[in-house]
Parts: sequence; C-alpha cells; structure tokens
Amino acid sequence: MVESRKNYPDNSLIFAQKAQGRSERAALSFAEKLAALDDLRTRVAPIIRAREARKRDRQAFRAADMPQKFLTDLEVLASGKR
Amino acid sequence: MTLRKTIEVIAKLGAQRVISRYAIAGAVAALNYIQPTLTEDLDILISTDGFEKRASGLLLLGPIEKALADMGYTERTSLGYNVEGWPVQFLPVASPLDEEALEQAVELDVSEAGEEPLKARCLSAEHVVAVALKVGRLKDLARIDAFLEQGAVNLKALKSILVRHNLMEAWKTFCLKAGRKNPF
Repeated sequence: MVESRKNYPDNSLIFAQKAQGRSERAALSFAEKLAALDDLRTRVAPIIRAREARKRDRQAFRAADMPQKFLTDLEVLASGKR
Repeated sequence: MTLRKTIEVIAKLGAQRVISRYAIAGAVAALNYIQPTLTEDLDILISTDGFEKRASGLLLLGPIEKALADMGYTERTSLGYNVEGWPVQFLPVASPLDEEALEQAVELDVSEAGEEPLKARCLSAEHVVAVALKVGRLKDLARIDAFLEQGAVNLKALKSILVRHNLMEAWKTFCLKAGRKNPF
C-alpha cells in the first residue's frame, strides 16, 4: 500500500456542489429540460462531427486498395512536390 | 429544429390515430425525472394495434412512414426517422412489461411558459427504470443509478413492477454491480 505523505486537498465541497447542481437540473420542468438537451446537442455537435471524420479517415485508410500507394501519395503531398 | 417540435409531430400522429397509443421512452423519458443527459434519438414506445404483422413477427410501420411523409418528413437514418432534426425510433410493444408501461404512461405538459399548450405521453419513472433494467446495457444501468441517486423513483411501486415482471434477480445483480445496498 502506498503511504500518502502529501496533504491532499479535500474535494468534498466540490462533489457536494456537483450533487446540488444535479438536483437543481433535475427539478427543471420537462420543457426546460428539452431545451437544455437541444442546447447540449448543439454544443457537442462539432465534437461528434470530428469523431465521425476521424472514423471515416481510418476506414478509408483501411479500405484503400493499395495502402503503399496511399502512403506514397501522402509523402509526396507532405513534401510539397504536388 | 427542436426536440419540442419533434414531440409535437409525435403528438399529432397520436391525435390523427396513426399511432393508437404511444409514450416517450428511453433517455428523453428519463429526462422528465432526472437531470438532462445527452442522447442521440427519441424513442417512442407504440402499441401494435392497427399495424400489419407478418407471419415472421415483423411489424410493418408503413402507416407511420406515410403519415410522416405527408407532413414532409421523408428522411430516414440508421437511428430512425428524421423529424425536425431529431432521429425518432418507434419501438413496438414487445413484452408484457412494455404493454404495462404504455398502459400506465403519464401525460406531460411539454410547453414552456407563453407557448401553445402541448401534451404528450411519457413512461412513468418506475417503468423507465424497469425497462432500463431489462435492457441492461451499461448506459441503462447508469441511468438507473441516476434515478436512485436523485431520489427520482418510488421504490415501493418499482418493487411491485420488478416482482410482477420477474426482474428481481436482475435487480440484485444491478445492485451488486453498482455497489449499492439493495433497498428492497
């Protein structure tokens, strides 16, 4: 067992505030929560789009008929010769 | 494009009797009881009355598709019909638990202050939890945990549903996994 020699901060107040926030959000009306969900979805949309683009890139790379050619093309592009 | 407008379209399908009985289910139903969490789609539990059923058990949702198309919603993605920007998944009743959940769904007011009144049906908190337990994916178990954490479920009513639908063993397993003391 690792013995703690540091004085770690007490995070209980932060967790209590988070619980309070959850409780306040849970008490909103259904209509207010629907609006919050719309807002949440709008805010995470760029992250989801970026994740999907990464996934597409990976799939395209795996599906490439000639990965070697794909890599060579990338190298040519990176070198600025094309 | 808002979820409220999507629900308005679903309520219209109900009013037009395209779907005879329906209730908001899944994450959006949970939203009525616990803090908002992100979801990709809107699940609508529907009664199978009035839909053609093939011998294979496959249910044809053609009338819904047609009614949506008449209202201008023709796009369909892997997540469901695109209605006002939200994918909607229609889930036909598939068990006695679903049947009871639909029967005992509650009516909600979806309108904000100053808006036209809009009523929609939504699963009760206890049925949202029981269905989540039955489905049993990690995200469903996390949802149950949130209900317990936020005191959003009537434990006595939940227990009677779990007993009635033979879900007490699944409940004990959930409590074990979640590190929770079994409240029953």
